[in-house]
Amino acid sequence: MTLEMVMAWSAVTAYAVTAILFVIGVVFVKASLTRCAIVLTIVGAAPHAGAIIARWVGVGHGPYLGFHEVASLLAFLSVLAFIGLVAKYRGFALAGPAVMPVAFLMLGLAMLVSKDAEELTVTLTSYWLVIHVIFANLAYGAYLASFALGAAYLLQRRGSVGRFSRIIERLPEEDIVDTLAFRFVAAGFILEGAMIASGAIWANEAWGRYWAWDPMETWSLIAWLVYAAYLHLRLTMGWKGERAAWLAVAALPVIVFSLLGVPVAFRSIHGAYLSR
Amino acid sequence: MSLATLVPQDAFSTPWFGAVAALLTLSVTACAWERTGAAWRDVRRVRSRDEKRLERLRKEPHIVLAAPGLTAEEAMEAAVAALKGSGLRTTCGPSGIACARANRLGLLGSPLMHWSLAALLAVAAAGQLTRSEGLVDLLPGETKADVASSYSSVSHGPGFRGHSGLRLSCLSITPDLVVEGVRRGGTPIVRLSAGSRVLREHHVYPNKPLRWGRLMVHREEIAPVLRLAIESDAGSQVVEMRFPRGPDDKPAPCRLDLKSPQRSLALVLVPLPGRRVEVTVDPDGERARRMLSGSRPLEVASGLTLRALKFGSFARLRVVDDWSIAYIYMLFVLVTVGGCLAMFLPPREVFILTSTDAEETSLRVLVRATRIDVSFRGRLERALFSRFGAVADVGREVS
Repeated sequence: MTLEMVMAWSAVTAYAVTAILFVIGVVFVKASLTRCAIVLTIVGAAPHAGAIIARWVGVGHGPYLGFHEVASLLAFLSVLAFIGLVAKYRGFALAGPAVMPVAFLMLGLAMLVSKDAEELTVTLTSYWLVIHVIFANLAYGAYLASFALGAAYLLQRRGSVGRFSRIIERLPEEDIVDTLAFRFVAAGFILEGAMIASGAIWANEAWGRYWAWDPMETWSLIAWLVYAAYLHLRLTMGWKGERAAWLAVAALPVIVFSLLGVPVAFRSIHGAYLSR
Repeated sequence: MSLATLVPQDAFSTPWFGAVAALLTLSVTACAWERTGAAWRDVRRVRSRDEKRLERLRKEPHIVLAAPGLTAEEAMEAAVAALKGSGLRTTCGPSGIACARANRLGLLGSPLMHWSLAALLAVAAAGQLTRSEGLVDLLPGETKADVASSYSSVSHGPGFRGHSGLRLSCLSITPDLVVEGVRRGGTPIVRLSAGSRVLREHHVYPNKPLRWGRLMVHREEIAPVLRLAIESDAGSQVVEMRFPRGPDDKPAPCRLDLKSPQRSLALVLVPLPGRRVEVTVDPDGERARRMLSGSRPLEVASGLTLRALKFGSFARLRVVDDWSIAYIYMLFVLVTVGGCLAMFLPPREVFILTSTDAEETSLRVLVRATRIDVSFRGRLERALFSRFGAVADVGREVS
């Protein structure tokens, strides 16, 4: 087994253990287990980063071709964002039972599919690929964060009494969580706009058309419009607090479908690069 | 990979979709108009005179702070320090009002983003209405003018004003071009000229189209071409058969119908790797498959022989005539810049007035922030609270 595989499987194992620790720690209110889980998350992210770097060096391009690379990178960025949020506000460890199982499943799935390196074809050999992929990852990460913050807000509103109240008390104040959720949606909106724009420019350079209603393009636009609706409802109609939180939670499936579902459900020129 | 993998989305070219797109453009324009008005009102408010603010601060402040034991100057100094910590720059006006502002550039953000988006939609629509896109096939050494008859297939919008008439030449085809360590496959050298003047000339492959003005020339594919001699008792004729890629991404079969006084014969030819062509004789009736390779003649029927004279390649180029591309790129940038300004630089204003009443100093604070930044007032209250220890809001007193 290569060093890359050893590191990747170490990360899978670490994420699996942290997922269990977070669930037990949060559900049974064991602060020591939650603390262990946070430390192990950071420890697990290190070999994951090493695996991504090793793969990058080995195949000669970044982690954006084929399901294995895309899913692995998404899992890593989700974990990284989670670590950043917890470092800023310790109370966000509450999101551990949601984030870490998803990260574990994504990386685990990435390890089970074909890991054959995809060749950089003539269409993909462009600096626009890097720009487009960076914006895509940042945008989806921001939307994921807004989903987590929306869910955290809803928990705060409902969990002020009962067994989870002690944990929920450690979250920042409601208006801070609400504002953070909005800011992540705003950031994701700008980043996704840049992703769509850079993708259109690149498509024109590679194929001679900037927009052709390819299913991936169409669904990216749909997701962008969904979040545009969120922003307008918040800013124009004054939808704050619980309504905005529900919107942030309900909008995520659109993004998930546009990234992971469209390549499977539709025949698309993007799908060829993501679903192999 | 060719665009043949795209599923045609017929719905997006129907009139009702056009109506929806027009409605979206109208909505964005209305939004842009409203946001411009709001931004203009904010700018005017910035310029409004101190007297109005003074009156507002005295009668309806947002926050009232008690500053026991401090003089007016000391209280103002402490407030300014708290504002500096919140990222605002303070100036003191002639009426004793301290004015703190941040992110005034953010006032531009929303109008810029919305107007740019409306313009982008309009320019994209106009571009589509006047755009031409088509496929031109060129053998090495062949030249064709950019006119309708040169295209094997072409489509253009209702507002298209006519082809450029420039001359497109394929100078040669490099079988397997390698650039920066990446194999680009069969790559033509394409020249664009106006009369005898060469306008542009270089290898054309994905991500390196040939550009001139509103014209863009892309390499669609390099496909096989066969020069075939058909020999019979009546004589010999030479035909050229081109095999562009079909929907399955393989060279499409070509049908050749031969007629003689004795009979009619249909042939289907499919190119194979290694200078070979599979010939299916009479595909609608009795089938017989033969192989044509090298320069060996192939008898397909009594007295009828095929001979391959030359196996070669031709370049299929996608020629796009669209003036709107550069403007769309520019508008993309403006939309992104406007969005960033609007979201990440929300304008903020704070006005503070000190007053001394029965030897007790108090500060009256007016806060203005855009609807994007509704939590700013709460954050400011907390920052001031940490400085002064007690904040009394209008209608609410905290000891």
